[in-house]
Amino acid sequence: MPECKEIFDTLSMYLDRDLSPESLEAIEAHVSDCKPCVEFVASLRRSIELCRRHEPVELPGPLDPEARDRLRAAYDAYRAARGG
Amino acid sequence: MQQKPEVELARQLISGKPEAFDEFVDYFRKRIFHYTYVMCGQREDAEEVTQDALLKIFEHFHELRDPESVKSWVFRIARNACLMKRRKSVFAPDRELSIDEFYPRAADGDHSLQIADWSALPDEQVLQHELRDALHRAIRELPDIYKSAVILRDMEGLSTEEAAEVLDVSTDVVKTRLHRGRLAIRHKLDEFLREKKEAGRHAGV
Repeated sequence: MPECKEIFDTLSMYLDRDLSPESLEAIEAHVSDCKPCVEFVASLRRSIELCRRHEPVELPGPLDPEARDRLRAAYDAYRAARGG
Repeated sequence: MQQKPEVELARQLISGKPEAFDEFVDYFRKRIFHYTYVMCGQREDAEEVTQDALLKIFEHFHELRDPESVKSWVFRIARNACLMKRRKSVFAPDRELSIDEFYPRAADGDHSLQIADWSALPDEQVLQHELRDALHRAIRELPDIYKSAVILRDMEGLSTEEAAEVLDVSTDVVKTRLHRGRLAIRHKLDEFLREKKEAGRHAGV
């Protein structure tokens, strides 16, 4: 069975299920039986969940009409080029 | 439009339906701003970079071949716009994060001692605000290479392959950077929780 330190580098891939079935199984076997690792993996999982749910604190200000017009002109040029 | 609104919006714009224009701009403007704000750290810079990136997106819209890949295509342009801006300003070079920095340790070898009690994570209402700030700080303080991996993968939901395309690195590099970034964030939040607990103890709670 792998040691804590050996699996430490693969914990993200373990949580993302991005390892071979054998590796996942080996880590699973270790993690389920090692209290510090159980706690660490749980905290890492929670931390990742918080990131996933984290809404941006800052939003951009309202789009200036002139800036929007410039964007729209570029898109219209694209449409014209495609159509013409 | 259930799963990937951005793909559907891109599809509509490609097929020349201008109704999708404002929604597309709104969708990506928020995301590009968030990415650049976290990367650049300045609101004005982020606003400017976002507008530059959006203009580039429409000027090069003919280069978007597959609407399915619109997100990585857009973020690639945003990342480049961000790099151009940063090249003009002074900034600290990236620091490498070593995996060992985040390996929990304790004097007696029981590393569980160094982990805060995450099961008692502040209930969403009570300390939500402080926790959110701590998370925001933790992300902002990451060196750029880890920060961009975390934003793209965990916050914007890009796949490893898409993030690799945006960042111009291999998928293995994305995985390594993501893991170190995640460990660093976990570490900071762990510190935050331990401080909270200490403060609570002192206050007699």
